[in-house]
Amino acid sequence: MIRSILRVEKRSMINYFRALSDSKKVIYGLVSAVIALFIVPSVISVLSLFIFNAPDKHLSGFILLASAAAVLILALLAVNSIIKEMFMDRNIQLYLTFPISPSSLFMAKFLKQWLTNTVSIMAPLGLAFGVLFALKEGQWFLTVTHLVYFLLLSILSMAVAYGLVFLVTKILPANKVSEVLTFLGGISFVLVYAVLIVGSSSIEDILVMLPDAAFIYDGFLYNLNFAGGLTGIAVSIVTGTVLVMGLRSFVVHAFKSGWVGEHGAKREKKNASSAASTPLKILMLKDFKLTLRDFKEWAVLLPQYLLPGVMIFFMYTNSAAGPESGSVNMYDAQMIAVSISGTIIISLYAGAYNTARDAGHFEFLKTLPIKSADIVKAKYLYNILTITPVYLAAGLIVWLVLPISMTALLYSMVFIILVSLAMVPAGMLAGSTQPVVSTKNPTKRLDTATNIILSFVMVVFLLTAGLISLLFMGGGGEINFFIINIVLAVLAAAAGASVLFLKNVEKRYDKGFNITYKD
Amino acid sequence: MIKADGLTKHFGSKPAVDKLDFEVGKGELFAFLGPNGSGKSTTIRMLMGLLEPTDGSVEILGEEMRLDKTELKRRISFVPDTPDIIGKLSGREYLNFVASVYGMGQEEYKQELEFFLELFDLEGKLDTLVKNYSHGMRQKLVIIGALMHHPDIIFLDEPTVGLDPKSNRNLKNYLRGYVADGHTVFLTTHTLSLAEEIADRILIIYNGVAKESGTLGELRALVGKPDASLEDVFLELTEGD
Repeated sequence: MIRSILRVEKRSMINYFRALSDSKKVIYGLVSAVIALFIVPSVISVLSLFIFNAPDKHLSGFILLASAAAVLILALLAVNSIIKEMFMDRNIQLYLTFPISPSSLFMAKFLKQWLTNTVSIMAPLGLAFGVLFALKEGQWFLTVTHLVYFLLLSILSMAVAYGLVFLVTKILPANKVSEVLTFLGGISFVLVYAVLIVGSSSIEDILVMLPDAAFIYDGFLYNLNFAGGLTGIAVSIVTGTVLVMGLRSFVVHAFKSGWVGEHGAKREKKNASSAASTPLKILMLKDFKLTLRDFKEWAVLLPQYLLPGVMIFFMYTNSAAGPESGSVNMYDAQMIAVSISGTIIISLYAGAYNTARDAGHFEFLKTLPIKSADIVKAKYLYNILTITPVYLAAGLIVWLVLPISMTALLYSMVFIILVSLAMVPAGMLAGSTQPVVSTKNPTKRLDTATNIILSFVMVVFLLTAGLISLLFMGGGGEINFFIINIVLAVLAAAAGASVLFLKNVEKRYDKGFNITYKD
Repeated sequence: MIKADGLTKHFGSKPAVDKLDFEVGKGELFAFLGPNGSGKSTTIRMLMGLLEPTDGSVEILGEEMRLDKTELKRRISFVPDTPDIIGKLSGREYLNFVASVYGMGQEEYKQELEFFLELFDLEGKLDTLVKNYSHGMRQKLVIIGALMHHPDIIFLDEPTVGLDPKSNRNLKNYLRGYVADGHTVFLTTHTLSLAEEIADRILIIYNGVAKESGTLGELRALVGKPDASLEDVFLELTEGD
């Protein structure tokens, strides 16, 4: 029976890839090429540098750290697919209507999720570790012990992911769990950066803080000896088997009690109230509610919101861009530059995403007795209210924490206001060009072309933030207020001219969006 | 064939189904009716073993029904209220899977497929991905999957939603013949004319509690309106819901 289910799942995956649009195939191809050409060689070179040069006393700590990071990241990445397959899709309920035992169903689903979510990464990682250790110590069997150990870690990641999903499901309804766990999945990408950047720069400091794990790994994963190798393999196999069996009985119980596959959303009872208000207020309230009640809405825009913080962090921790390369005023110039770049990025993204969201209920919106001009005004105000105050507050916090002058803070604030006023309409225009409505991925709202353009703009401003700060530096290490005032004037004019964009958006609301429906 | 004894299901403290007792015999077409939210789908899911009752029991073909009774499930089948299909499959891939899990032989499968594809006008459409099907086409596919292995009992939850008139009539005729051959059909529907036309016995559930059951004639007599339609009887028994 497990084979029948796996055959169906395999066929389903093949059909999915066959039905992909050409643009998606290109994107997947590019991502695969980036992984194969850049990420894999980087990981191998970082690993080989450490493994070949580290003293023996650091090896166990290094393996422990790598294991913990890999398990945590993969578990967070796996939760999304678990929640989707076991709770959100009706697949589980459908399978169970057939003569299929819950146990077979779990084993088939687990095998699929394990192979695609964790083995696909842990097995190559284990192989890389194994080969490097084998080369270092001249014992090829280390490749086998590492492979077995990393396969155990892949099972452990799945167990942690299932534990996390079921723990949260006890507290929240399934649809909310999906939102929260999708957000956690997104966080795991930040963890990858944290592991690579903080981990690689301060690895020695971290290693001394870790408990001594030599009693686990010595003789098994390095300094291999016969007893250690065999014991390690046996313990790994037994632990992996116990984990899978434990998970199986746990999930089968959940199937039987109706816990898995249930959409147990608890609805709050609220009094129906329809206080009379202006269309502008009602439309803005609608956008606020749509954003606040859905964690996925936050998750989509959160990286763009946080980007200036990351830029500030890099600039102030990178000695090449610090005051050593110029003067203390460099901090001021960087603050202004980041304010401009960051506000451009978030204004474009949020403007586009929030406008494209209307495609999902466009027909309903048009049946209401509301003018397109009011819709556009409300959308514009909503975007400004959710971007400008947030960035002004963030600027204030940065000013309190870092050595930045009051003049730079005031300039930054003026820039944040002007840039958001000027760029939000551009974002709204982008979002209304060809919005996408996808029932399965409701947050995928922009067509491929708009996505590529916005990503390109983001990369350009990320890369040129440093150059902009240099532009604002005059000779002698002083801020060039002349240039800054020129940019300010241009932005003020752009903020005024952006009314033309808003008019165009209004026309699109009048004529109807060119919506692409997916799924 | 089907026996519910004190069947109860609570979600939190609220009872969705409360002490339901009924029996459905061999060769009977049993209509299980009720307004929205009255507990029909919860009951059908307990009968299928998909949901554990809070109290009471379900017997199917003389055996207590549980989710892990694989052999028992081989003798029944279910058409859910929404025609979802597992994964991203073509119609043929879906039916191949159903045939394999019910252990159908190649020749039998081929013959049944031919018969049902003609009955529901699906010839030449099986190799398209189901996600490109209309609602009605999906419904037909799910019905074919549920009927082609000739289960002893078939549970149908709103089977005619989305079906075109011809397929609707063909399904009704098929079900009549099916019960005449000794099979059992458990049907829930809001299309009262369908139940009126084909059901042998009717049970009306309201707020999780069984109101009345019997043939249409018995129900008419119960409300004191010998010429009333099932719709009139239903509204009378469910306080107009």
